[in-house]
Amino acid sequence: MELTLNHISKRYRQDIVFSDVSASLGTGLCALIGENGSGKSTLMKMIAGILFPDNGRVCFDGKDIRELGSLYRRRIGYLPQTMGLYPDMTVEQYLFYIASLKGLRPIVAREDMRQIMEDIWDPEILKEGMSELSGGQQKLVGIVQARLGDPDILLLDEAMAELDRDRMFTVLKSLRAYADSHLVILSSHLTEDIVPLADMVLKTGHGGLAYEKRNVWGV
Amino acid sequence: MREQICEHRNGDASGMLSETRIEDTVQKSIRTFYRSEKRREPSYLYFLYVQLCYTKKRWWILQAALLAGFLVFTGRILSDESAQKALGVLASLFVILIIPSFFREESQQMSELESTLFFSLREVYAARMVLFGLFDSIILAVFCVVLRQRLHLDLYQMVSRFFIPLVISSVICFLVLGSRWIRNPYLAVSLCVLFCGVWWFITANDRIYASIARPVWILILAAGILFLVICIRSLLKRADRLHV
Repeated sequence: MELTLNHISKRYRQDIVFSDVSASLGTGLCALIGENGSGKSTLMKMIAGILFPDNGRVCFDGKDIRELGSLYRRRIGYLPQTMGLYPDMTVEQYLFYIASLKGLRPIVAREDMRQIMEDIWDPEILKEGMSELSGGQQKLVGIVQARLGDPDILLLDEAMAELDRDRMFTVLKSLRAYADSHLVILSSHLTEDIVPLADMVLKTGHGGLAYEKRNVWGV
Repeated sequence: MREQICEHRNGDASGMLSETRIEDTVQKSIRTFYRSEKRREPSYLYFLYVQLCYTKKRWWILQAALLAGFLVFTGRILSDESAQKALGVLASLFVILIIPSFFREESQQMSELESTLFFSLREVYAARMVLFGLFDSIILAVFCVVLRQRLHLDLYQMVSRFFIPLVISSVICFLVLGSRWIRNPYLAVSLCVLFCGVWWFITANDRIYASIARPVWILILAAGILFLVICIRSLLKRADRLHV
């Protein structure tokens, strides 16, 4: 499995976000870091297929994700920086709804939910209403929905925001294990917590993209 | 005795091994089952069924109640003539009631996430059009049959009094909500209400209404339907990037 960014350029009006950047990502945990407004979310959106680069291509296993379409969308899980919710649903109903949009049958969705919830949270929260959750809890629901269906590529934009430190480490531990056989791209401003766990680091800024492959010790 | 103990021990050991192996096999089977289930081709019918389940039925009930209420009030409070003139307003209100459920992602900021899923916003909107189309067609058909008998309207009058404002209101809604720049449910509702006012002015003034010839009404209806089809196609084509 390989995700490649081939000569990506992107600008918003006069601002150059990326100028002819390239990178190749495989299995592992990739920390996406950079200052505010440096293009982290833009890059996430281009990989998720929401935004298209002005030039260049995002490819998955050698094929342009635009051509792959729904086949690519089936293999990604995405958590946007600002995630909405349906306040009239319970957590379980919300997750089942997202699972149905992912094309997952209820029996698979239920098993996935159970496993992920046991891993990072408390299955009892499934009965709570989405509107009753705190910001951090909503973020956790977002992480769970992104992982439903066991996607090959997990894109988490500022997933650690609003999480308390204990919960954050639980989630990071789970994501680290998940990254052993999947590609997890995690953007965060908490570089000191995430970078030590990462196999790769992508740093955005000044129209460029710096890539560093790391050895992960003691994890 | 010694032989019996050895036999018992052997029997116990193999029993334990069997238990472990059985449990291991069961777990592997479960994992294999779920892996194969995940690889199965997603079912569009199940997706449609889920869309039906998660659609807020209250808006359909309101639509039906609106039409039923109109029929009840016709003859009791509204004269036949006033009722005919009010059909345009009714048509606009009927269309406005589609907006909250149809475009709920917008108000809940779910568009960005849902456009990255296997059944993306395009499929969601298409499914909702199928569901709303089916349900609304049924209740509109019943309404038209009863209305025709109540107000003694012919087909031309039904078209010019009800279906044309229905189509025009639909065009307004899909045009606004399918636009990347002015995509706002409140704007769509406001424009529909404004259209109601204009339509009421036309139908309330018999001189203006009667001066519009039949072929013109038919042309307006045809153009409206064509434009509606274009708006819907455009919405479906750009659904996944409208929020960007």
